[in-house]
Amino acid sequence: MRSIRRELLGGLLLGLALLVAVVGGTLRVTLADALTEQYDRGLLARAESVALPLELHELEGDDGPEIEYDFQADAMPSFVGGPHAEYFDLWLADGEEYGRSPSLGLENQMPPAFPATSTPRYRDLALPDGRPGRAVEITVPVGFDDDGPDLPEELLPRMTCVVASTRADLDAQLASLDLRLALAGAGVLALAALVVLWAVRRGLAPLRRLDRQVAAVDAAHLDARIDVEGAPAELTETTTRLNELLARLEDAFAKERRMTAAMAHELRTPIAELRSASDVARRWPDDAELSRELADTAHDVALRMSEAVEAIMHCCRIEAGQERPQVERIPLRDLLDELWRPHGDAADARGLAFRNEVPDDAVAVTDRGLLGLALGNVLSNAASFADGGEVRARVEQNGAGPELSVSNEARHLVDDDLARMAEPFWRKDAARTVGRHSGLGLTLVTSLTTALGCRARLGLEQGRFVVRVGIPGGD
Amino acid sequence: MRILLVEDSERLAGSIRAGLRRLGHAVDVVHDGPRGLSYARNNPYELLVLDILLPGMTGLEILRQLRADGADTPVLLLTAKDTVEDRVDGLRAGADDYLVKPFAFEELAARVEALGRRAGGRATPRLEVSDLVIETAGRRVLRGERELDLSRREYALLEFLASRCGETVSRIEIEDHLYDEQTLPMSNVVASTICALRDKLEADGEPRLIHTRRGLGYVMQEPDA
Repeated sequence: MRSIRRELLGGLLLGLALLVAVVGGTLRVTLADALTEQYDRGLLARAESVALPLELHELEGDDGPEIEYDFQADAMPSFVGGPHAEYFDLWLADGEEYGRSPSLGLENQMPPAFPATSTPRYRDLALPDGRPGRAVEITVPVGFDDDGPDLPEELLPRMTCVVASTRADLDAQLASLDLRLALAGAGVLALAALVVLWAVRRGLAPLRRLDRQVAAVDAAHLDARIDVEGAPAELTETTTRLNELLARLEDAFAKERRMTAAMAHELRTPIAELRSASDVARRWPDDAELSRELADTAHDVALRMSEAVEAIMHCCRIEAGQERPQVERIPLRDLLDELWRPHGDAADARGLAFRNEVPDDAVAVTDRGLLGLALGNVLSNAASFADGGEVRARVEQNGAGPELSVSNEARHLVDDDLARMAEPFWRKDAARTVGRHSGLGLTLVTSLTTALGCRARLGLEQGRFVVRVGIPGGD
Repeated sequence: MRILLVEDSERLAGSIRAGLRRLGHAVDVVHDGPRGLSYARNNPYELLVLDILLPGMTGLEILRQLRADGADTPVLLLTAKDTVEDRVDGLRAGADDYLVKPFAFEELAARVEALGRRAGGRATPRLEVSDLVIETAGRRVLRGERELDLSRREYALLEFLASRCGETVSRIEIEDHLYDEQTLPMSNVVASTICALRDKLEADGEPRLIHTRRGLGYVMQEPDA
């Protein structure tokens, strides 16, 4: 599994290691150059010392001047030999060897790299005794001694002097430098790793707190909220969204619990009806009249339960997107008259009238079956629960287009009821005032109209309960 | 026993009424709270069976008002509300028993009979007058060793008279006990039922148990009392 902590640690430590390597490498090169330069300066001074005794002497006769070199072994014993021997080799400008240090012996030479230049040239080499060494070659003009003529430098003969010495000290210094740099780098890296660990841990602490708070939320504690105040700025948006999600979940769970409780409560009555009817029928099995009466009761109960189950299934299918609307043009006035007809007799008996003020030309373009089911439930609800007077249907205009409104007198309803009226099995009066209603009518209306894209709005206006449904395609 | 059943489910009320009637009870049924209170106040019921969730007025409100009026009629609450708090509320409001839906009809009938017995001051489901034994649980009647075959109405009348043994019971009281509002008794129906009962009780020449008090009513008493 991916881990932010591991990735952060890995990335930061790799970055730090690269940084330490680059800085260490640069430092090493700089310091090594400085040490080598210092060493080379010493080597150059040795070479200049070796070349210093070179002089020109006038020879008697016409033989011209001759180069003379007076090697002082006492002053430079290291060039004689021994375990710390140094070496020099003198070369004339024509490439002929002029002389060499005793330490070089007869079989060894240190030829310079021709052509000669005025600037010193350094190189690493293996000394005749096998030790690693470093050599410098310088080309110097050989002048007359103090008693000789003072010739211009360009007229003087040139002598190239190659001096080599062990580079053991330089190598030791460089090794020591490498060791120190490596130790320092490792130390810096370790320290940095600790700091990074601490910083990552501290930086991720709010995530762990968030994790603990989220883990503490279960179905029984959906009222819990994530602490937004203590959250860092980067998590504020997330915690706010989480809290909104929790609020929605809490609301949904509360609705589910209410629905489950309501459904269980609703089922008690039909089950009690069935059980009582079957108990009585079994108690007097020979009573044909009673058996018929109770069979009718059981049949009614089964029909009612079947209607309730059908309504629930409708809601589920709609929410699952399994009800596909079949669009057609539907004259609304005729549809409403048709839907009211089954309720007409019962409404007349209650002194309830239906006033259909929907214009003849009002048309909805949508699925007839689904719209009919929705409006049928609206009218059934009105016919059953209206406090008398009349049920009115009309078309009204609002900003979003034409709406169909169905209203009825509802003096018993208050504004607070509106929020829960579309919940399954909600009833104003907990008692089952109208036995044929499953308590799912307005739930179904909401689901159906939402599926048709014209979600129903419930309202209370001057003692009347109003259901408004946008008219699909009614522009 | 004359019973008022206040239950908003017509189907449930219908089957309960049918069953209780066949057990010999007279059952009036109403489906809302205000009418339930009115019926309970204006009729001499021996038992009230009240649903709690009723249109217009809850069963608990009916119960409280009746108790406030001083009525001590036994009350059985019948409801889908099944929490401990609901039961405690019901019993504290003055109910004598509580039955949660759905229930077995036999249990309801047994509770109805138990409440009827308690109201009559009896603890056992057995009534004895001389050699007459009425087993109310099994609805069995014995005169000595002989088992009597009685109609529902005859049984109900016999049990009513035996439960008030030694008391003179008027014809009106008997009619109230035996008939609910849906049955209009003919004027001589009580007298003819008494006659039929006497025939069955005295078929083997046993001493008379049911006596007529002219102008007052009927009394059941032991032969040598």
